[in-house]
Amino acid sequence: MDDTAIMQQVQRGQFTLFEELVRRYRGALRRVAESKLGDRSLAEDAVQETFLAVFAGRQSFDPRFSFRTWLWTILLNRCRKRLKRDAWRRRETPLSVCGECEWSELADPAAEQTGLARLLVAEQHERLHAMLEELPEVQADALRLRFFGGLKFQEIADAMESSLGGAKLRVRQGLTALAGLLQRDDSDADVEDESHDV
Amino acid sequence: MTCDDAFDALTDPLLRDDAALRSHLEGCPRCRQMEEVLQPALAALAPLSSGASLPASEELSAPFLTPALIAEAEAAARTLTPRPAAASHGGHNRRTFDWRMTTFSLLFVVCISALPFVAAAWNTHVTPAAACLWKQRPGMELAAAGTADPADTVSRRVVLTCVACHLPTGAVRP
Repeated sequence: MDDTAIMQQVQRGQFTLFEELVRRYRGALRRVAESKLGDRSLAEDAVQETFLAVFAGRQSFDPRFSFRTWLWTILLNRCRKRLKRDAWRRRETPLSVCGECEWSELADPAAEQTGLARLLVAEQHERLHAMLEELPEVQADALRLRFFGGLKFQEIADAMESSLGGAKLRVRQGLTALAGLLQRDDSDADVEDESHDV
Repeated sequence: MTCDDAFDALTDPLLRDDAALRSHLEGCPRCRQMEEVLQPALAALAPLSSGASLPASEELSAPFLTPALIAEAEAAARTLTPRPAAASHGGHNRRTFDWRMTTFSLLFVVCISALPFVAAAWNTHVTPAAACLWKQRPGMELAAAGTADPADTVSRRVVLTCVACHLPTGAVRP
């Protein structure tokens, strides 16, 4: 059963079917929210609020439009509101403290890795998260939706209220900028290593 | 596959190793160069891509919406008082604002209109031009010449007029 059919059933009162939508999207929503908010508990709250908003507004859902676009638009809005509300908290709490290696838990192979390897993976993910924050918000959001959310370009365009070409451009520019940041970071690390050797 | 399709596939974690994409990249130097430029970013994003699932401990273990929770939410929604319409709420604010503005405007106009009358009354009360002896001081000194202690008398009278003007609440009047 596709998302629209499920929503139509939910509109008719089959509330338990809503669980299926939660099961389908919770992971992707949380990945995007966690990357955007930098905090697991905030991300969980944003995802919960998103699902509750969808459920509360179930009667306003129009089956002619994409459920996924609706869902992702709500999530992005919830995240933006939370970012504004919790800006002070984000400033005062470093990601490494509030996250407690949450990124390492998301990566599937981490379960078989040693503790040291898990820490390295967590460090890489935190580094990636920090770099995404350096990008313009529209580029970072487009990357999150594409890679963490698994959205098609048209869905990204709809969720971010841009054209299809605009969505692709944002992803391309974001990737180029991110690659540049990663290379710059690697170069800095090499210079540091050399100075330690000397 | 077009270059546009190749970019779609390149950024899709499930299609990155697709044979059609590999074939396109072999024959298209521009896309191959793009892949080389984007490779660090694509590699960094891959572990967190939508293909990776939540760990078992994070999967939904309990129902998200229990029947009891739904019933509670529906009951709470029924008891809520409907919010006033946005337009009427905004209109109410605008009316309050207009009332305040009108009051302030009226007060302002009244104050401005009354200002000349207040100033005239003030001048009449505190600056009796005819009574001011400061400007008449040279003539007074000449007229008083030859009388006993003329300087002291003239000075005292002049000072009294100064005090009368500059301390209007005082009881001293020349």
